[in-house]
Amino acid sequence: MTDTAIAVEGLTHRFGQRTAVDDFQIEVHAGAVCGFLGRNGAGKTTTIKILMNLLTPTAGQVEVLGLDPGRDALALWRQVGYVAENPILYGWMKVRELVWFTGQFYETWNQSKVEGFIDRFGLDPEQKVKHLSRGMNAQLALALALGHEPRLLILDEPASGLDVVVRRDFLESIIGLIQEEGRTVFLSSHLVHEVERVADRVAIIEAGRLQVEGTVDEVKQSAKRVVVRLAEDADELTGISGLREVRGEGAQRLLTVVGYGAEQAAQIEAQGGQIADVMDLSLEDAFVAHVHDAEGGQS
Amino acid sequence: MNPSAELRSKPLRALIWKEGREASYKIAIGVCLGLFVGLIPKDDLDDSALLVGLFGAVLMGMDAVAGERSRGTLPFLFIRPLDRGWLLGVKFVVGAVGLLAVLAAYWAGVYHGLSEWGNPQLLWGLLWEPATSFSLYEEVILADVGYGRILLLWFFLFLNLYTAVFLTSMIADRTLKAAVGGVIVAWVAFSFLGFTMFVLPEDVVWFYMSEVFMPGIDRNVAILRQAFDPMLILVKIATAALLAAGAILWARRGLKVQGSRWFQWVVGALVLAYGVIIGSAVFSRHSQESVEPVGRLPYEVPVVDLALKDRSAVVLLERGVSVVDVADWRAPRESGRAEIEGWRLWRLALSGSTAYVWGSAEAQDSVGVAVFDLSRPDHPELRAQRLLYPIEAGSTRWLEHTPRLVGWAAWDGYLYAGLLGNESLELHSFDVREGDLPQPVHVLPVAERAKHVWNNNWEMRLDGPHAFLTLGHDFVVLDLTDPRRPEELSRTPLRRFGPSRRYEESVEKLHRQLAPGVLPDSVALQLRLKGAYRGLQELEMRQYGTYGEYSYRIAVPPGLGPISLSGDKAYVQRHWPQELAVLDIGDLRRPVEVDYVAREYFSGGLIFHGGIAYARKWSKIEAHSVFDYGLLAQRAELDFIEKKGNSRIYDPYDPTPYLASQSNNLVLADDHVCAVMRNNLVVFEALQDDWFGE
Repeated sequence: MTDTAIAVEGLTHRFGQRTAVDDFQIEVHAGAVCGFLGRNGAGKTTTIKILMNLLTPTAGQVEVLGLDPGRDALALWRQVGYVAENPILYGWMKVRELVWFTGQFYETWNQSKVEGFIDRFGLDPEQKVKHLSRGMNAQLALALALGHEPRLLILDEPASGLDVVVRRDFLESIIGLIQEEGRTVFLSSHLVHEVERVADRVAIIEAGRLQVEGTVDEVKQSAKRVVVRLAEDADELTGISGLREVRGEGAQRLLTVVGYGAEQAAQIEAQGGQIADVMDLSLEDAFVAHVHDAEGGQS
Repeated sequence: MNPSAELRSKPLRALIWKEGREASYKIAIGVCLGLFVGLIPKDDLDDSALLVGLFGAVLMGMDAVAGERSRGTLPFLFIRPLDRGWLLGVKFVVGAVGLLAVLAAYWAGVYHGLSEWGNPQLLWGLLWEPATSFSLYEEVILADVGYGRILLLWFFLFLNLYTAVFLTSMIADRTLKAAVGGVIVAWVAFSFLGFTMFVLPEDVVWFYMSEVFMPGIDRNVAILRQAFDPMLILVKIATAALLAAGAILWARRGLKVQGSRWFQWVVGALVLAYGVIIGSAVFSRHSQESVEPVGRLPYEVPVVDLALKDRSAVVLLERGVSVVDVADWRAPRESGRAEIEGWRLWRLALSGSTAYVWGSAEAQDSVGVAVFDLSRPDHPELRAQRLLYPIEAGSTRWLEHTPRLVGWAAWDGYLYAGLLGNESLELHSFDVREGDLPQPVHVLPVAERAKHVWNNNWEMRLDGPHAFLTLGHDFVVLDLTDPRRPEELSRTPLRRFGPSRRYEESVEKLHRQLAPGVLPDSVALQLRLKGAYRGLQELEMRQYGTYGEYSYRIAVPPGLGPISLSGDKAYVQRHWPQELAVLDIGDLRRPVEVDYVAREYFSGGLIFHGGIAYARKWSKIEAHSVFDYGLLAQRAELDFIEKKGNSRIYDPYDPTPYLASQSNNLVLADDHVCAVMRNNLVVFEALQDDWFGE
């Protein structure tokens, strides 16, 4: 068993002129729950489709469970569970039929486990899939993705469409359960709170590029909010590396700085600023800080 | 079962279940519609069959992949650990089974209709004019071919279209686009088949391709060849299977979850390219080269037959013989003419400087021989005339009692006549070595007057010391070396396609109805005959000009027709299917059928000269490059434009060339083609071997 569940290097994907994923890299260790954060259109789904060999990358190396998705797709699909964003299932099948149909493709199919999930989600096996609510549909898709005991579970925006209660149950208990079994989860979302609750590592993608990757704490630590007092006649602070946002007027400024450290402190002080306080950010703020960068500017 | 096979069989079963369930509605709709269309009476079987096939193929193929793609279920299916070849293969097979079901229902409807009500046309026909709107042509073909074979042929024909639609369905992102695109792609591909002929190095490839993609229910009855020729069936199945396998293998590698956004542009570009190529082909078209005559001699009376003697042409007119000096082919000049009173002349044979003419004496309604002396070209003379088979004047029973001349030739001092009487077919030999009138020396009974010679294209080909004829499905060679004791050299049954039982029953019935004494002798004859001919393909009663004579042409029974000779090859017109059977007659005692020329029909046979075959079609003459693999790839037309004042005289039904005999009425000599056309003696330069170009 490899230690690395997902290893991506230099991944680029273009749709015609548009670059969806741009020199992206990530490494997800086996057994981890990795939250993959990004705004809508940041390149999350494209990346995931490449991991699942539903898209062929323009460039870059991809390894999933030690396999090249392009070459060993069948082996990959045997070991990976995947739930697409808003999964579309065969509406004309009954829940029971869809479970049977899906199970026919796997040697490792665990029928009782799937039935257990279906029971837990309160799904009626005799109901037609097209009559399920959106949430139930997502739950069924998850149950199906777990049926063959995948070593890696890839979830693309699993929580979008679910109400708050279901979302909690879905994310916390299910993913907890999965992780307890030693499986790896790669979970994309734009809902930072949800991810923060379940993930031990987080990667943030913006405009197809990886912004930061690490444990939740590391990501939080990766940006700081700095309170700076300025002398009355001081110029605006400039040239501070990693500066994302400046707020405040008069003598006080609130700076958001990515990768804050001694270097940035020295830069601030050199311009006559006096550092009054350095505050930690929440994950959401850190996310926003990172995402701002790609927009190319201080506001 | 080995583990991997078992591993595969479970998902395959599941896939078949899923695809079957998804296709079941389509199949049900297609089957109902097919059955309905099959059952309802229709004028045109091939059109309705083509439409049903088209419908079935498009219905089954269009949403194979595009449907799942537009519904969004494709990623769910595509991440299952099963080779996409299997995924697509199951989809393909289930759709193909659906297509088979639709076609099976359609043909079941058609065959049920046939057995219950006879030809569906009957139902329509009853609404207005049953006696004249009949054509039981298709009924007879279908009875011959049989349900199983026609289903097989139709299935593999439309499997190709289905494959095309299936392929576009793999690319298109919408079902409708797949349907429209598939039909366009198939149509364009089919249209380009014709162009491939000029590209492919081997005619044989083109030939099989054209046979494979051609529906056989047409006037050439090619369906019989397609249904009973194992090679064609094999090629048909192999082509469809290869195309299908190629499509699946290609898609297995290239299939995308997303459809092509550019698909419609690609199809549009294809159509545009198609339009440009077809358009330019139409504008630059000169495939039918027209060859103008180099010389012409017009007559004021109908011209009937023609023979060449040294540098003279002997032209048979309706009531006389004209000798034409053709020393200069470009300026034929009549040197003399002899006439005969009260006769109508039909057919000419030359022996030395004597012309023997078969004709009928109008007053007596009898046939006979007139003899002309041509030893002085500027002063030909009628020497003698004799009536044969005289019958009661004014009786319409001439139809049964007057023998029909089916062969007329002179050779080595003897004259031969093939005569088709009411009872039998006979070969008469006459001694013409002495005296003015031919002296009968022998009558060889060749056959009972068989039902298979009931068409007026039928002929006995007299060639030197041999006579060639067809009887039903037999090719017969007679040896005339000893005119006093001619004998049958061989009688070879040629290949038959299908039992033709239905047809022969119809002909049998007709035969009974036309038995002596049954025919009425008034104008009502025409209607009665039409009634009697009911079971047959075609009946034409024609009244020619003022002569008040009927020529009747009925369905050609599924036998053999005129024979053309070229070296040690004989080309025999086969009627069902309509094609030329090619025989090796190197050994006249053992002729062997070696090949065939598909989909061709020459009512008067062919005349070969320098690698080019000439044949009369209507009032024109067609020139064909000599066959290779059933192809007459290029042709030229020998014709001329005749003008009266400012208007062009053109009457394709001009009966002149057909009155005397069904022969070509063209003679080749000294690299010139001499023919009678529309009251003219016409001379063309013979085409050279390389005329058609390389």
